[in-house]
Amino acid sequence: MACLRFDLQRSLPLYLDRAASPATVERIERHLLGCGECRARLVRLRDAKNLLGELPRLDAPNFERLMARPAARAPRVSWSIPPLLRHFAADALVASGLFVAFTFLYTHTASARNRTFDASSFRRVAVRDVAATHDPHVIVQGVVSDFVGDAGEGSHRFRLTDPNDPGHFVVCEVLDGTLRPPKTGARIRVWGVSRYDSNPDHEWFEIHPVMKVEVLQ
Amino acid sequence: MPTVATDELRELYDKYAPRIRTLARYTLGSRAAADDVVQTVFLKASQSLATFRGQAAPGTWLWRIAVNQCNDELRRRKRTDRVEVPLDAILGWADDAATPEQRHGVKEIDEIVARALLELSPKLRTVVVLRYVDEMPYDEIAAILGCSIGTVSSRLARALTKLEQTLRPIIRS
Repeated sequence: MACLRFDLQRSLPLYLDRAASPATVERIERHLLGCGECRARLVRLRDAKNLLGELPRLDAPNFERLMARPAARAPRVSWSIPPLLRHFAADALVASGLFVAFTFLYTHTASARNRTFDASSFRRVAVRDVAATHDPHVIVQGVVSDFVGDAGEGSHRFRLTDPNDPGHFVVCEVLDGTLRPPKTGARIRVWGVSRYDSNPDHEWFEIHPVMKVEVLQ
Repeated sequence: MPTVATDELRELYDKYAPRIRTLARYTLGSRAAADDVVQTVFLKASQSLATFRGQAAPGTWLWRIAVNQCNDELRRRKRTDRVEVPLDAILGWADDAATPEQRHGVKEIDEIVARALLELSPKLRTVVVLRYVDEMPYDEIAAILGCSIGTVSSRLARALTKLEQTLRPIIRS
């Protein structure tokens, strides 16, 4: 059976060169008593070591002559990418390109503006009940009373009021480039995600993002 | 390229140049390439001896330059096609020879062993030459290569195993 004591096998050169710690020597010798494979391995390592030990050592070239001769071509190594990394880098580049292209098409094409979604997951909720609903996907109907603040990043934010109960409103936020924002005073129905904006300047319930707007007659 | 041939540099040269030349010869496979490495190492040393002083043991510093220089040269060569005599062919000549005298007549054993070293990866080649040709202690090798003594031993085990496999015909004869 093949010896699996790789921890000892890697220390065999240290043992062979009498450079191993006493504890390692003891462990190796105890192992060698019962492992013929490692005994043979040790002999092979020693044979190879002995051959290397016979290689001739070189003298130094003459200092003055060596330093006076034209400088050796400095081996400048340009930075190169290892083949495996190069392989992955190419894949990553293609994947990044596809991701950027898909994202661009998804957010900027006409089909994206009228993107269909599963209307069955949306539940109709009155403006005053948005605060109480646990449904994330809601349909809310009302009148656009005014546009509020600067939503930033080019989004459009407007207040949707219940015409029968003007004291209640919900703020709707349309992400720029996704839908055409409605006009002030329009009666509309919006599909979107209900949430609470806890920003101290806001603290209101909102539909964010608005995913569909339907202007009512 | 200006050089500063100080006494200190000369001292370092006398002490380390033969060993660095030996390392480069067995790492790169030729004396000419080894001389280039020695020259470059000591030109670099002469330029930065002043800034280097006191940062590390001078030997370790020079060895690091030498090892890096050899690795740079090997990388440079890797990008150019080189045609070499296959080791199998050399070993074949040695194996066919009936007596040690005849074998030596075909090819010196040293040359065969040196050629077998070139079959190892540069990492294994460097460590095995430092340890078994230069006879450098494990802790010094570890300091030069920036690894642990255990790693040095592990690389030696791999290098010796591969060398023994390659040189088995010689060892057995």
